[in-house]
Amino acid sequence: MKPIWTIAKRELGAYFTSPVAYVFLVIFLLLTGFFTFTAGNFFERGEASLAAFFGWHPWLFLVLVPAVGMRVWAEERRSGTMELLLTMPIAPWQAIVAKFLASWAFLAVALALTFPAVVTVNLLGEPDNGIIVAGYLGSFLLAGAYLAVTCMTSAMTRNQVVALIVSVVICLFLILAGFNPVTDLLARWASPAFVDTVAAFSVVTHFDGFQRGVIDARDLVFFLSVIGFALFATGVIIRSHRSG
Amino acid sequence: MKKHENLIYGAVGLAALFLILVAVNYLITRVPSRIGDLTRTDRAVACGEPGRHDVQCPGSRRDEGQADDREWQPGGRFIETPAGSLCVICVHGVQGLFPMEVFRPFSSHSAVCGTGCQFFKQSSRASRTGRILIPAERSLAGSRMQLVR
Repeated sequence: MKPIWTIAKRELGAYFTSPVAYVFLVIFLLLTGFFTFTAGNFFERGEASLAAFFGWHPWLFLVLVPAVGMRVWAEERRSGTMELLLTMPIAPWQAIVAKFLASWAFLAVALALTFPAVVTVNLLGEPDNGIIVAGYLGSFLLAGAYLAVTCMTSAMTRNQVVALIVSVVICLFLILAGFNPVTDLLARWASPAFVDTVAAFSVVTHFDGFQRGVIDARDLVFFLSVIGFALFATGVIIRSHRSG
Repeated sequence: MKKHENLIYGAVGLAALFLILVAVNYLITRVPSRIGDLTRTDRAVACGEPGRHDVQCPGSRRDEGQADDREWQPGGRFIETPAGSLCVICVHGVQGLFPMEVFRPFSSHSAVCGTGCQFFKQSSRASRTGRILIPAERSLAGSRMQLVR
């Protein structure tokens, strides 16, 4: 565990030594505020809930999370430090997990900084804070799933922009598989069982439960599966580079 | 062949892991697996008793394991409170149905509460003193719910 902790600490610190982290945080908070209060008609709804806030997260994270994770391995490959990292007395999986955890922690910081929305809604009314807690948990897992996919694409290439685009496309598929217009379209010619199967691969389907305040083992297992699979794939890619 | 050994083993491992994860996810859908419901149901129940109408949803797209086990299944309950305000309690776990979809048609008038959708203090005050009674049918018009007759 110690090597993981050491690398994760170094990686997390690296985020804050450059202005990129602060720029990202400002953009994230501005966009969150815009989508919640303006596009989400927060005040017009009159509801003391953060449904407008969480409802946008799958779409907001679609670009922002890959922007955080695109450099994780691509930068190491571009600067040639990947070989150095992998020759250190640590297993590749430890480096992969450590880098992932550092980026996830950074996203957790970004999410935590949205607390004014919670304060606002508590001042305006008496929201069901249990639902808000569940929503944050869901958002955190959603960000983790996107991030794991981005780590995987970042390991594939030394170009960060390519990593960003590929991960956005993969994450978009993960959204669209359960997006209502898409499932409605599928339902026209496919059987309900097929539509349900496709929708089961979507992050939106599994994020819905959290938005309602329900924590279901199936949703947890799904997000952890995506994270586990993507990180395992990252390991395979990195090992293939090392041997090739 | 030797050169690509790592890649081949990796690809096989990935395929195996994918199948295992799909199997685990499938198996876990076969059993009710709710870990916790963080909603405060006490508030929803406090809406009031009189003038109840059962409401039904267009149908769940999830399997039965996700279905809610509260008494006001399948869709929720529409309540006309003594003050003349209205309230819909949406049952959680009904896939494809957000509380907002239920509330939207009348939320600016007199909706008071619902699980996951507590209203701003100002709205609640207005609805407590409000005299507007919107018939259930009109309130639900345009929403994805209908009254059970």
